[in-house]
Amino acid sequence: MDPRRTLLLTLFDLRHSVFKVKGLLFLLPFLLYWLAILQLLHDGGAEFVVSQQGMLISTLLLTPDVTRALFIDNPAVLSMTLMLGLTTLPLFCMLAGCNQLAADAGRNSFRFLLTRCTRSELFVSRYLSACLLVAVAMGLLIVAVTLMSLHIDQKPLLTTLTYAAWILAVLVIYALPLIAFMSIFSSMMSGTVGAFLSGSSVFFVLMMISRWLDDDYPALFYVLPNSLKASLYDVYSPDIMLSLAAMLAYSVVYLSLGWLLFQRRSV
Amino acid sequence: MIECRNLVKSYGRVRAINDLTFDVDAGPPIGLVGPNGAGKTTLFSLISGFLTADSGTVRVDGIDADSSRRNGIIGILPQDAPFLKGIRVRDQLDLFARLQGMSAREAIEVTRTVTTDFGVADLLDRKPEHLSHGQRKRVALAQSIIGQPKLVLLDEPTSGLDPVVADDVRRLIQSRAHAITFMISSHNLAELEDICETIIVINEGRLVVATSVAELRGRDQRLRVRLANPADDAMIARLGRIEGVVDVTCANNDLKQIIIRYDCMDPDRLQMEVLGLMQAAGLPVVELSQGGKLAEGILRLVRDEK
Repeated sequence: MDPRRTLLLTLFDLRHSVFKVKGLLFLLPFLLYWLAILQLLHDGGAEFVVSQQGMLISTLLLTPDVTRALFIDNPAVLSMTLMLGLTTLPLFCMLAGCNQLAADAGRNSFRFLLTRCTRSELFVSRYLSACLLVAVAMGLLIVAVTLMSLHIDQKPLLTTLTYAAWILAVLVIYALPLIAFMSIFSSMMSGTVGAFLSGSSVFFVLMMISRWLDDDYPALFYVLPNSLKASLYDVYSPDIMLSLAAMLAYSVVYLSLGWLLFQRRSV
Repeated sequence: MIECRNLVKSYGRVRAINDLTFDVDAGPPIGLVGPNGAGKTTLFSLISGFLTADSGTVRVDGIDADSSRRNGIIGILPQDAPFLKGIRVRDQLDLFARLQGMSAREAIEVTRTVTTDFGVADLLDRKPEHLSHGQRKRVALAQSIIGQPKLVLLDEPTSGLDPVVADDVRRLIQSRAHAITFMISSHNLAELEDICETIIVINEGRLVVATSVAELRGRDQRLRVRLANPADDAMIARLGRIEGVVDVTCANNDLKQIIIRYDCMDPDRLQMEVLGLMQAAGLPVVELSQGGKLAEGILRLVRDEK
């Protein structure tokens, strides 16, 4: 695999995704959702989160230690973004990752490229491009939330900036296996809709099965990366680095599956 | 240039390519001919690496078709394959050039040169979906030679083009043939006869013949004689009595166009005898040609194969 060609293909795809259906499919819902959330936080939601009532509700979902770490020790607005981000990322990553290869492969458009690059370069570049798109969108979101946090949470500047960088890293790393998961379906299907529907259906079914059968078959619980999501909230947990490493491992496994399918695919 | 060894490719139960073996040297354009479903497009896809063979090998310039070292060696005009949707022609051609190792500046220059040569420079800022079929074909042809590949596979390069553009395309292929080996799949046999020196005929995924155009023409053992005045029945009978002549007929019942089918090892002697008879009878010969048209030779081969 040639790094120069992979980089060329990645940047080309990223540049031509942003304002096209491929990118807008992810960017528009992402933008609308987070605008609504930021509006809510701006209109008093952030103060509510750190109020006694808010903290009480939070303790219904999280342990008291995690609640304190998220909403007292660290900037609450950023913590809220982390929680909402981790919850909604699977959907956004499905939207961002469903069209890595499917539509172009279905139209045979790769034929002009494949005498000049390898399938591996094409596969990896499309994955990296989707990851970069999500990372850039997340980065812009975190910048906006950090500015809001500095205004609302009143924590020291360095604490806020460090925590913001940490949250961005966690969210981006969590996105990697989710986009890799979609590469499997994008390698198989011949259209964006088909790749999205098949990917999201399998994700949903696997999630249900892993919840129902985790007592009898504990290994099933770990089929999807969101089984480790809870450990990513707990910023003081020693397991958090292990969970982040696991996200990279999930990415490698899913990418290998997608790569195998794309290698065998007729283009 | 191309080495195919025992190549097999099936789609389900259908064998599109069936134990195909042939070698092609670098040089003048090569025609790939066969009836619909013969496996021509599948063969191109295997050579380009779009498809993986079930068994056998295909090497281009000594490099396996699925090797990453093959990048840039092959250019292709695939049949009906579209460019990436929604992206300007210029950006796509620049990318192709850069993928072949050129700098950004070189890529711009090469894109400008090839599109000017193919008369599509004015289409560079258009999106592929806004081009007509003929314009897309010409742009696709231009991309196939970006980076000066050693082998260019052209799948029906002139289908859907008007006669003037088709002729331009043929001239462009011929003008580049000194540096690039073209392999052209086409149903337009007259076009292949004009451009190519070697013809590969395949049928039902098998090799029928790989030979020169001249050899293929020569396999048709016929002499065609065009006369200024009509011949009479006595002349026809005399021609039929020449040693080695199988039969004598008139094309379209026109006694000025005589076809002599023969079965002998010395067609030159036969020609001399025919000319001698015509001269003795005072019949001016306007044209005398040996062998048939390429199309007839190929049709007979394919029919014999069936």
